[in-house]
Amino acid sequence: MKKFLNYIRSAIRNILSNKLYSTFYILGTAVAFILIILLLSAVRLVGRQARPFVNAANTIHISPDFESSDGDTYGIATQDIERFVKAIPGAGKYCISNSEGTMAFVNGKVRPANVDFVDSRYFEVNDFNFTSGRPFTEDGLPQAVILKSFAEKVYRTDPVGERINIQKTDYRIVGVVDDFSPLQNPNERAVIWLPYKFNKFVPSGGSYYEIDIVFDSDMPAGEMKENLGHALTGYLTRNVPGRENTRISPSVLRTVQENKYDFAGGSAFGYGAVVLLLLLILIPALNIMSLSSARIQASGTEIAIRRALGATRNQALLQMLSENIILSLAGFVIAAFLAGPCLSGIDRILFSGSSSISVLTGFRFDFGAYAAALVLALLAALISGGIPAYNISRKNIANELKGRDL
Amino acid sequence: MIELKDIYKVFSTDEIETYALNGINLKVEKGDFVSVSGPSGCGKSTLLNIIGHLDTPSEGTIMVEGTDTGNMTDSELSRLRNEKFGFIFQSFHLIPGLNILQNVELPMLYSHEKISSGEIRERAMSLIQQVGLESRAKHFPSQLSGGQCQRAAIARAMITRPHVLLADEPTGNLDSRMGREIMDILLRLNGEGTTIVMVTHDAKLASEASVQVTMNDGIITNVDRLN
Repeated sequence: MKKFLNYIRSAIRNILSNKLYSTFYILGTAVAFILIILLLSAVRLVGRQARPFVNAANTIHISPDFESSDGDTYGIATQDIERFVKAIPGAGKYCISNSEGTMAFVNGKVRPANVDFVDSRYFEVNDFNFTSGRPFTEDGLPQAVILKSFAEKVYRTDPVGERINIQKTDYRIVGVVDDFSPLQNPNERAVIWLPYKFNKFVPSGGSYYEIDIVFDSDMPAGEMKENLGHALTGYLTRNVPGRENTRISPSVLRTVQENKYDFAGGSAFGYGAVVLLLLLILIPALNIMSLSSARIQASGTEIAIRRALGATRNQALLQMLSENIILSLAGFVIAAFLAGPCLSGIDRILFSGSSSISVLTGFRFDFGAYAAALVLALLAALISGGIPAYNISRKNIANELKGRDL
Repeated sequence: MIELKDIYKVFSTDEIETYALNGINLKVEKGDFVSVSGPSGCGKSTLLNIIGHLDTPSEGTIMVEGTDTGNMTDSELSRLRNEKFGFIFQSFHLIPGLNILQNVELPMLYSHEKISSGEIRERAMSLIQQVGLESRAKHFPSQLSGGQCQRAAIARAMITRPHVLLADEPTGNLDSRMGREIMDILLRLNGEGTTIVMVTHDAKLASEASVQVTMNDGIITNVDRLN
């Protein structure tokens, strides 16, 4: 323990006496770790079913204009939706929504806002975290639920009970929901949710509602799609004149989870993320390795002196590695503290002029991402410092000392 | 105390083999002050490095206090260097990021001796005092003169209470007055019982040693043992 503390003390002394190198090392690793934490968080957001979209894997999202095998587009009439869903084997809860970009009047100011007209079941299908208030339970009352980041931008205090005017209708805000990321559900970009009965867009203009159908959780995705495809084909055959032979292929239907992968870059997302992650580690690791190599080469004489005074090869190696580990951990700590604020800052910039949520909204840094980044920090230290340190600790002491001054 | 038997050291490139040491046999007894002199490139420093186990011979046997060091592991050799030998280099080789006190204490970081940090500090301060640097203990090497650096290096070499002090041109980078001061310290240490092996160009300093070894072309040409 005493020896270990001595290494740490000695390493800190060396770090402080090489301030420029140490600063570059720490900043370089900090930037890399912020990117790594960001990427790992994104991977986990895409891969996991986090609130509010907890049924992503067994929910199929039907777009307002889904495409059939003949390339044409159709929809389900609003009055038919309930009957249609009930007839599908394995289908359980469902909800409807229609997303529109519009203007909201708040406190005498006009704000662009992405509005979702939904039925009250929307808040049963999706497990939103209400930071204030509650969901609306009546589709016929002019009530609104708004997103936390929109609320923070528009209202200074808790907006529950406040009024918001959209399309000349005054809505009373009944709830505020926590932010989420589009990576959790690319179909959802709303900042305000209103009862669908107040929707002036649908069914005018030939549009249809989007439908989210939740299937039994133990049903395979293929079977869900098969059942839904069959139901859609039947619906079109019966209800759309001239489309008796139209067949909806299950392959055009996607679960919300699959939509997440599509949004994040298709099925290659996982591989792409891993490649990107490796590059993110490799680039700073190579840069830091060259910095470390130069530093360790420069300290070759110092290591030789330490070895002449009695340090073993492993002690010399440990001495050099402890420097790198401390520097990498310092980079990680800075990254851990700055990742959140950096992201919020970028999000604020992206969100400030937008009516919708940015890709960074509701980005969550989970423990797993931090833990993985910490492991990578140690790995980077070992890779960047270990190889040159190993080489230098095995060099001939006499040769290293010959004619060299420190 | 130290016995070298048929020591060869060959430096090889693709084309040439150079014999830096060509069959050296030497005995260093306890309490000896051995000077090794000879022209540049004759193998003096190589010999000293091999005695101190900073380098390995191509061939031959080294016995330290009756033990053959040929089959020792890296950690055994490190312990040997730490406990039995103290090193003084021409370029001092103090670590610039450490102050004089920290430099002097450094070998104790690798020592197996059971000793508290307070005792290490006490021992280091006492040695620093003996070489006349007590007012410079918190100074860094760059703030000291060459002679002061070499005195600090002697204090560092003595901290583990080594049996043998190995000095490679200890006065080589110093003016004659400073060189004299260093030589006086070495003579005092020898008088107190420390065995010293010193490589030097300076014939006058070499003549003050109790055993004067002369080398040429990798071989020992003469050994004068004074009574």
